[in-house]
Amino acid sequence: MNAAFRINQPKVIHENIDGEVVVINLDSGTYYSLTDSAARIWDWLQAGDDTTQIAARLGHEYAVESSIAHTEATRFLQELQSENLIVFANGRQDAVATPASGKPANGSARAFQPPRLQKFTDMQELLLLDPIHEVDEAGWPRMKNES
Amino acid sequence: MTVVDSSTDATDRHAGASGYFDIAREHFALAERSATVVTEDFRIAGLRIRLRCAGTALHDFITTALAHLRVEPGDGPELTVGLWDAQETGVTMPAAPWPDDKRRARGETAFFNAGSIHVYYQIDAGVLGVVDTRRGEAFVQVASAAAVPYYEQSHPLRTILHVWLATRERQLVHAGAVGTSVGAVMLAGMSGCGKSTATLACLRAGMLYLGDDYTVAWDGARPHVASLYSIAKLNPDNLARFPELKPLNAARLASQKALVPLHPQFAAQLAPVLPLRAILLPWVSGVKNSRLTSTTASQLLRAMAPSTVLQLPGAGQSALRALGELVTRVPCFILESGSDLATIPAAIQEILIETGS
Repeated sequence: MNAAFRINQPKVIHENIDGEVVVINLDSGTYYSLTDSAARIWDWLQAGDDTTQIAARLGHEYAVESSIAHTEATRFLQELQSENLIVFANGRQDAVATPASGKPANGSARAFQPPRLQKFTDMQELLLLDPIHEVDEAGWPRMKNES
Repeated sequence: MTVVDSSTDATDRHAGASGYFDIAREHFALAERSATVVTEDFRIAGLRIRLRCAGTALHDFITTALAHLRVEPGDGPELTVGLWDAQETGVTMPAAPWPDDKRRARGETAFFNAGSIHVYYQIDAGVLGVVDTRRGEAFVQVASAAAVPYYEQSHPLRTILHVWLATRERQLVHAGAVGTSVGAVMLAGMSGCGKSTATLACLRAGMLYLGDDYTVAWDGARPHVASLYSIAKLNPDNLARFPELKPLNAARLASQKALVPLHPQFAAQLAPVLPLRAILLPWVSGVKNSRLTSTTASQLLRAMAPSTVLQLPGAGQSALRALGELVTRVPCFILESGSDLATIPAAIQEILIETGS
């Protein structure tokens, strides 16, 4: 299946510094680091590339078989999606043929390491809600114990 | 992050927020007639801010951490904040005009914005704030100054200042800062990494102090860092290392962090703003001597950005971008804080000399 994704803004914010992308999910408090091929895939997502295009770019830029590039790109995009960092761009996905096994990338391509999502959860406590202080029907700013 | 009611037309949202802002202004006028009002000016990050506070207990609670930034009254404050204590004045705002189930929370704070008007409700503290960044006007209702959690005294008006300063190209940052006459370093990182210990060790060594937890930074012709609060927070078991410090809440340290007002005791060392020379990421090394090692801007961003953005209602992509620009403008270092506290200011002074030329 081919699919186009977009970054899940504004819930997800991101910044690329010297090739490392720092991504923060404002809803969950989880943040992530993407480097190397993962950061490149993030760049291509931003540019609007779909799964097939991303796989092709991966195969072109890195020394990796196109079939492996497609497998890794698809796996990584699914991981990003499962973390709610990206969502379908148009609410659907299109069926396309999986690319046939391609030729190895040319000699100037970079060494390939599968894209990896480094995940940090140590800030989630900053987002904890206190259910005791849910507001009542009068709406905020009144607190339950004031009614 | 900007949170809005997606089911409501933007025009209605703005009209609702604007109307609610006017209601807040009217309620402050009522509160002014019901209690003693103290009007004072403060210069924060180079900008004049006027606080008009109805309620004496609230005034003391709000202004202790800002005392070092108080200035003589002058013309043209860029932000005027009217504050009142609902219990003391008997004036209470009506409910906000949008459904509760549409609001979301960052920390324990509900946040709503429409255009230049931002409304927040800090649930744990009973603090309701409205700010119009375009007009430079804000109002804050505190349910009861006596009921606000003690720790709020160390960072009063944080949400309003963050929202308003962002429109003046200044970013509130979860980081401390210390320096000398040549400039300052910021100390970033999550709670418990040693920011307070390091900044207070520098204060003891005679260095200039701008904050232990929150500061303001901006990147103009060259980057600067400004002081925001002068109440330091310290774990009680760490207080023995700083016997010269006198906590406000000495009788309650069994259950509270120590809050230490540094003004007026250290007034001469409380700098309002300095050029930013470097950003440090401290951690407690366990060895005797402190030392600095170079690190990458991206590691600093990872340490500084999540804790900043996730604590500030309404902060989002623009705040992250501002922090990203900041970490690329100055060198970044790991500060391995040693057990010999005197080696911390020595290491920082050395880096200030190296980066100051």
